[in-house]
Amino acid sequence: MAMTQHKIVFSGPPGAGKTTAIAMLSDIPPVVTDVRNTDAGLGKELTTVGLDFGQADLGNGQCVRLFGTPGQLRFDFMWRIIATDALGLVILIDNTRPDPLDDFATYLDAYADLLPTINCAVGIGRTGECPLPTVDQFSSLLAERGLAFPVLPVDVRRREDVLMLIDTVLIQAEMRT
Amino acid sequence: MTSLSTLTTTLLQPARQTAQALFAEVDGARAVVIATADGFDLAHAGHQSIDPARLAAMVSSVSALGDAASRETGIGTPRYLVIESSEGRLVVRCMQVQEQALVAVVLTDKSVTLGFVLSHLSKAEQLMNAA
Amino acid sequence: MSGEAATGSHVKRDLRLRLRNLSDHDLAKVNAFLRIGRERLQCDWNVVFDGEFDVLMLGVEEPGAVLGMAGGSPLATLCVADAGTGRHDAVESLARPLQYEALLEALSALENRIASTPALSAVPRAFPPNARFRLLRWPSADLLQRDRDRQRLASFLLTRLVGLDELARLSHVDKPQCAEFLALLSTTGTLDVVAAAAVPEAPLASTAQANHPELDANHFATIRHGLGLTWR
Repeated sequence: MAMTQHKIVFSGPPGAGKTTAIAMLSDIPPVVTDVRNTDAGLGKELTTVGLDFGQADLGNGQCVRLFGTPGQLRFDFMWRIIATDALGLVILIDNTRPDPLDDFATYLDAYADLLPTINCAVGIGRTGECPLPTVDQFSSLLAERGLAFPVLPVDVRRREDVLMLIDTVLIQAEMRT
Repeated sequence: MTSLSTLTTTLLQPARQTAQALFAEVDGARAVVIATADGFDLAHAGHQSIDPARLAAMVSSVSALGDAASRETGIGTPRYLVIESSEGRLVVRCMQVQEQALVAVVLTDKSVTLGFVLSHLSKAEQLMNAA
Repeated sequence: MSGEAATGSHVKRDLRLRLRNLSDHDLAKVNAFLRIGRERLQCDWNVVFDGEFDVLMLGVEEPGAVLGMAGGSPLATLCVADAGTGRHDAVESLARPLQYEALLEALSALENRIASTPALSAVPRAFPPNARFRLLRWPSADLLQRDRDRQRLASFLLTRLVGLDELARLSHVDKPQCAEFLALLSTTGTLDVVAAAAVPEAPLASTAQANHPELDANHFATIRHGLGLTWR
């Protein structure tokens, strides 16, 4: 039987936890395209420049392919390529960055024509360290654009948190059938 | 303005010279970009109107994907990637210069012999390491 | 979580707080202070952005300016002005920068005043028979309270109108709990409620789903099972 494949994409700024989230769900060692970072302002040793790839085998000839986009803005051409034909999009935000709402707006702009019809969830990370902006402020930003997606505080090192994001994406997809 | 690491900034001058030299020596070259592996353009030369920053990011992605595919298939580390298109060619060289991973790309028209370009890119890496 | 509130313990009254003309910084403070001070307040304060509300919190140049600006028919108005701009006898006011204790005291005072006012309530609206529901925006974190059932129920309400029976069936959450959640959402002004007679518009399918018409409920059940997503 031909394998039925579904694609879920994790996007978001550098350090938001895309690679970690994929590793939480993948049954294979994730393919990563991390290289040494030369941007002194980024505060990371490595940075993704291609994509992250993982796969969750569902049995019965089905699998979910998990893709992670590079976080930095100069790779925005990859965001759209990777998100094409995705069953769902998860945007991860790091609330300890200088301007998380601006980060979020960047991704809302980048995916603007996809968002009205794609199944999407937003995970806000590290809210314990940085409670502001609040999760509700992200919802408000969506509402200002006429959008409504799940916005959840998450720790992507916890599998159940990542699964909750995926569940909300699947729920939206199910409601469109 | 991105703040590049110290090691990378020491490569700026050799990168500029190399980009100019490649453009001058490869007949049919339309543009040359030398970039860091994480997609920042260090130098560029050429007469075709391109956005060197965008091209630098794109070829770094291509190079990283090539590296991932090479690792996955156990064939070592990539040296070249070639995008052969209907109206021209992008020839990408993955370089190691003074412990820094760089990517050089030459955009050529269809008339240029591929081997010629590959040879010049190889020489360019040697020259940058000798600088 | 939601069960505990229903089994004999004191059920807090819901009050809708509409925020207007406040900076993002003040908005964030109000939300944070409400979350932190939740246990001290007699009522459950929910911030709303449109629709009906009980209390208006308004940013102004000076307290007197609020008169005539409020709009609507709030039970009370609380104005927020820079420190030193004076007070107005007719208006409750708070000085910037907003302080936690000052806000809690002001809200507590409003709670006492509202409780003594007859025939005013924030009870959920009655739904028409066979009503269908859809969320206009993601609910507040205070309302969801990190409860998995509530998060899931809210997700079911995002893409199209859905009735109570269908919501219970798809979510595997029992009907009374679904009904309670819908009632709670109805107090926030973010729930669209459509009578049964209206013909709802079908949601736009995503490209991926349009290209894969075989994706049906069974497929999603398989995906969930394969990922270990089993809630009930």
